[in-house]
Amino acid sequence: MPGSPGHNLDELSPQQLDRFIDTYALEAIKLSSVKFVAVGGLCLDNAGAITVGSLVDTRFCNGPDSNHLGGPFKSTRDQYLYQIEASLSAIKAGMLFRLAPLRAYLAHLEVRDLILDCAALAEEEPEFYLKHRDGTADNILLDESGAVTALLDWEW
Amino acid sequence: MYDLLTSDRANTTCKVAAFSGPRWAQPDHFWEENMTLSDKEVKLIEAYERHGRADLAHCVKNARIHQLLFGSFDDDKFLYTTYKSKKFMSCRHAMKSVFEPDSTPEAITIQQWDMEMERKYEGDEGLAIVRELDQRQLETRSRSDIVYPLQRVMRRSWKCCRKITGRT
Repeated sequence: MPGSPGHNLDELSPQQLDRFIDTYALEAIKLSSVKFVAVGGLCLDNAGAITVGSLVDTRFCNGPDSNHLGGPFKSTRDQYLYQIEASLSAIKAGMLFRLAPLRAYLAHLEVRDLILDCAALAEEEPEFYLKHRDGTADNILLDESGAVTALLDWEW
Repeated sequence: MYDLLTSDRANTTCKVAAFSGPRWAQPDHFWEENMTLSDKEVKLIEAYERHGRADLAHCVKNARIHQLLFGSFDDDKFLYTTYKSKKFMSCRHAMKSVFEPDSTPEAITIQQWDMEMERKYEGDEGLAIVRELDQRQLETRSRSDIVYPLQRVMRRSWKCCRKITGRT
């Protein structure tokens, strides 16, 4: 597999940057043909087929199963609300935002209301797609022309 | 040639979030104040349109809600700035401007926000527990304030001793 990771995109020439963005768009277009029925993390079922399971949340990594945070969800709205509730519970338990729990708790309550009132998030989502959870250039291999050759580290 | 590596825990999400401008394309610290599209996001939109995918271009143009929420849970962004009051209010302003674009921006201080939110969520069953945690934290912090000056005095004394004895 050719290419090297960890590029600072600002160091690419204008031609390399254009090539990078163009090839990235082409690869994203290919990924848009891969569809799923729910929101969550990918896993294998008993028969070895790819399925959508629990969402991994890197904030809760203290136990063997504690980094799995609910799901699969029927919508991103459900996912966000679940994550808000998980954060509120963790703040109440003194596990999250220990230095300023009250302000963090109030901020989460306010964001929960914004989500509940948001018409765009209430729209039905018929299909779901893969998303890289760390879309920095560190996880992209490029060749000398700037073309994308691989996307790495999809586990987070 | 193209590969996806270590994709065992990739997550799935709605179309707009999945094809939003990735981190490499987003403006620096957009969640604090700059909500306009970056040059790289504009180029990505143009690339999608050039390849006949106006639907994906639409995702890049309309993804700020998802980017803010995604960042709130996964990165050191909005909800993780609550320790730093000045930064928090600018992040909150950005969040409100995306969720409620037609609303008039509120010019309130963080103290006013604290009071308003405590009043608004007075009936929340967890609030009393968190108030108690917060109070305990404040008391711990005030004890730390006593320790730190003592450490400073001890360090100064130690430097003086080294100077007197000539030992390094």
